[in-house]
Amino acid sequence: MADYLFDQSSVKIQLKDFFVNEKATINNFGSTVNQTFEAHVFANVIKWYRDNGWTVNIINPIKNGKQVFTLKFNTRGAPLNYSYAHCEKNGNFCQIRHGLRTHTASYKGSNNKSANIVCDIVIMNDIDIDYFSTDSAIPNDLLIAFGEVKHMSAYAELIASFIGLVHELKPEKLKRTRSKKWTMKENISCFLYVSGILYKTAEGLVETIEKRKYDVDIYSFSNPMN
Amino acid sequence: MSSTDFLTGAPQFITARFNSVHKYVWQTLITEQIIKEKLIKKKTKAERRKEIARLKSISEEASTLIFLFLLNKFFLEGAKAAKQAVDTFKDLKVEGFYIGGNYFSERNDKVIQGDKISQQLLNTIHDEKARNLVTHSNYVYEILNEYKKLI
Repeated sequence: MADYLFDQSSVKIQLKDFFVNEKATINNFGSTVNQTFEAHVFANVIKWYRDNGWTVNIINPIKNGKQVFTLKFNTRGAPLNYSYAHCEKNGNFCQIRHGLRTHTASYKGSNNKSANIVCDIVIMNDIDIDYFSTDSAIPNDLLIAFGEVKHMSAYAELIASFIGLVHELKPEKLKRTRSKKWTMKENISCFLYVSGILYKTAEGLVETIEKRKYDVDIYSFSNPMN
Repeated sequence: MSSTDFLTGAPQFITARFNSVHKYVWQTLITEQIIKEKLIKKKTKAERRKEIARLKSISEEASTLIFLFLLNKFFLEGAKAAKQAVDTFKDLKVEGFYIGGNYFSERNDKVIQGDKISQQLLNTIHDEKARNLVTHSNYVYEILNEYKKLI
């Protein structure tokens, strides 16, 4: 095998050794890295609100008589048991939550089954949901925006899947909104945040999304939120 | 060693995360247009086969380097995400947070674990050119551009 810029065969041997020697440490890192990225994005959304003039307070669950900052990293769990951010600006209020079950826009109370999706990040109107159980979902009309977080690089299908989520949760965002006159609103737009890069196929879809003027954002390693 | 043999001992989440790199690099670097342009100049089947082998070889080397680059970024970005999360939460008077039994706070071992693994990875790579390309590049396309010059 020809070498062009470096000695490929020796690097591959060294890489193989690295994986053998460091496997346990890498596995330990890997066991938390996805959730770390979710925590990072949750923190980033809070930062976005602070940077845009909102006053933010963290509300924590009470455990053994003490406030304990608690993040949620799976779909199960009542909202009461997890921390969220309470935001205020000019008399407007909202909450930033994570891992929250949300009814889809088409769901009606008279339906036989609940149509809901657990969103990684939810920005919602400021109402008390402490009485919600793990299976309760917030009404869709309380949803201001949501964020989908993926610790990976994006391919076309992931972008399409996100647009499908927007279609179910905030279909009004899929209208020609971002015309030349459009300016950033008081609240963040629905977003997909990937930690990696956008593969070529994903970039193709993002270009069509921009041309259709959808009111959504795709953040990535090369296009971070803050 | 074949193109992905070095992944034999890698954790499953690493192989799952990076096994598409090879295809991505080939599709980006060696487009159908390039293949047509290169092969049309070759008169015999043997010459064309040789040219295809050369292009594959360039793509494979670029893939290995981009894999290294992305792997290193993966570790560094993990640490960066942890640091930014703890710093932002600290601004909000939150001293740290748990993921399972792992506590993230200030610059404790869990927060900087990705930095340490990145350093181990770079220490393992003795080839200076490869290490420089990994550490001095900011984006995948910069590495791809280096290899485009070889095509």
